[in-house]
Amino acid sequence: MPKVEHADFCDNGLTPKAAQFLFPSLNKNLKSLDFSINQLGNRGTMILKSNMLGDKTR
Amino acid sequence: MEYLNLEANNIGDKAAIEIFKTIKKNIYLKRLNLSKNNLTNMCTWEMAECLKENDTLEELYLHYNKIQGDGAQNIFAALIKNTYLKVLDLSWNSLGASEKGLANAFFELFSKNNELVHCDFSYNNISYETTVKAAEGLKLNHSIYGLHWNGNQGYVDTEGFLIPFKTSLSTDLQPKHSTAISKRRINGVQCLKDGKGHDKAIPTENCWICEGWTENTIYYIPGKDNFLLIEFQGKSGNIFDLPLYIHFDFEQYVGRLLERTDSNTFKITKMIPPGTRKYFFSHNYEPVIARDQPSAVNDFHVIKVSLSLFFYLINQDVKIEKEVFTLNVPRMNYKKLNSDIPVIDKDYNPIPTLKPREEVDIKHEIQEKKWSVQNSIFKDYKAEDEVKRFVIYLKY
Repeated sequence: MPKVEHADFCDNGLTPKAAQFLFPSLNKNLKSLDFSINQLGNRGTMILKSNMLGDKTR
Repeated sequence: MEYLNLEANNIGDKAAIEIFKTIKKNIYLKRLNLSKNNLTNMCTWEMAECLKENDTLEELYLHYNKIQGDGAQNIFAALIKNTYLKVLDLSWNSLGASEKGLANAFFELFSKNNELVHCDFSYNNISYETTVKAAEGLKLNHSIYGLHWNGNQGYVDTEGFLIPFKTSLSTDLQPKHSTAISKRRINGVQCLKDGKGHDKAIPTENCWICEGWTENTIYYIPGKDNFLLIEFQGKSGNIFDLPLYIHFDFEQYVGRLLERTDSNTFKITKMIPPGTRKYFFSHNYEPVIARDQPSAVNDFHVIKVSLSLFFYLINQDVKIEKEVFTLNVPRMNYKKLNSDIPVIDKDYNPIPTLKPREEVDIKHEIQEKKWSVQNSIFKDYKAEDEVKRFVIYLKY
């Protein structure tokens, strides 16, 4: 995947299952992530947390 | 990652708590949007802990959640210690529910936090009593340049003061349009434009930031009147003495006293909303137009104005009297302004020299009360017009 700095997945009906594949593939230099109006719920947020926010340097 | 937007993802309290635990020590995240996620008071304790420890988060959006007064108190207590958060959006929550202690929490937040520059507490059903206490705290705050309080029992005036009012009452100073539900949402420290990319013609919430207000100085330069209009070139008119007031359309023509400068001119520096702003001056209850500034015919002619007058009493206390009267204003000055200059820059530093809620120098405004028709018992007396007088003359 190319080095993306700004990712916008707004209003795509994305579920936790999609999040499971999507978040690990996003690069570490991502500066902004717009994931508004999707269906992450509790489970999807946990996936996001461990992949995107887990490391405090990210 | 500097910006994370998780708006409308049905996250709930449990997951929100995990997010706050994780970002407590995050050193990159600057903007977090958790609006429309069914968050309640449950997650506010962890949110508060995060705000106490995190030293990078600058903007937090919690619009349209279910946070009540108790939860807000947790957040406010943390914000007294936090010196990084600049923008807070708590609009469309339920702060008005379980209000016990909320009034004091608002007072403490406004009076002790010097970092927040933009806050949205609109549509929270906040009571009159809480608004009164919040207004007291806000008087001590000169760092919040934009505050939203629509949908509560109060409104923000043009100088940034919070004015409490009971919904059953209305005041002349309250913007007439502020009762309409505003669907605008704050976006950092950016000026919001309407759908066509134009500035809003009428300020609806008196937010200096969202509405793109700019700092302006208006002068009145006295010049001699020798019945030759040419004498007025570069001069405003023949008023040489105070009190000289200025009345703006966006303030419902409340009179603001101009100050005299060393060069014997009069001036006032104010934050003014964008668009074509109409104004006129008044001196001893007579309307005055500055001839060196653009002017146009006023279609409405009769304008209701109000003045706050300050007087010394015998014991040197200061008495404030408010006068409301009407003036016949056939022409008005106008000034076209746009919102190109932001109120707050990208580093959250204010650009205007004027601060919100600056105290009026009362000594400067104290004056002797002079007799005039408008402040006498004859103020409501209607003079007979010339035609009537002529008819009476013919009859007798």
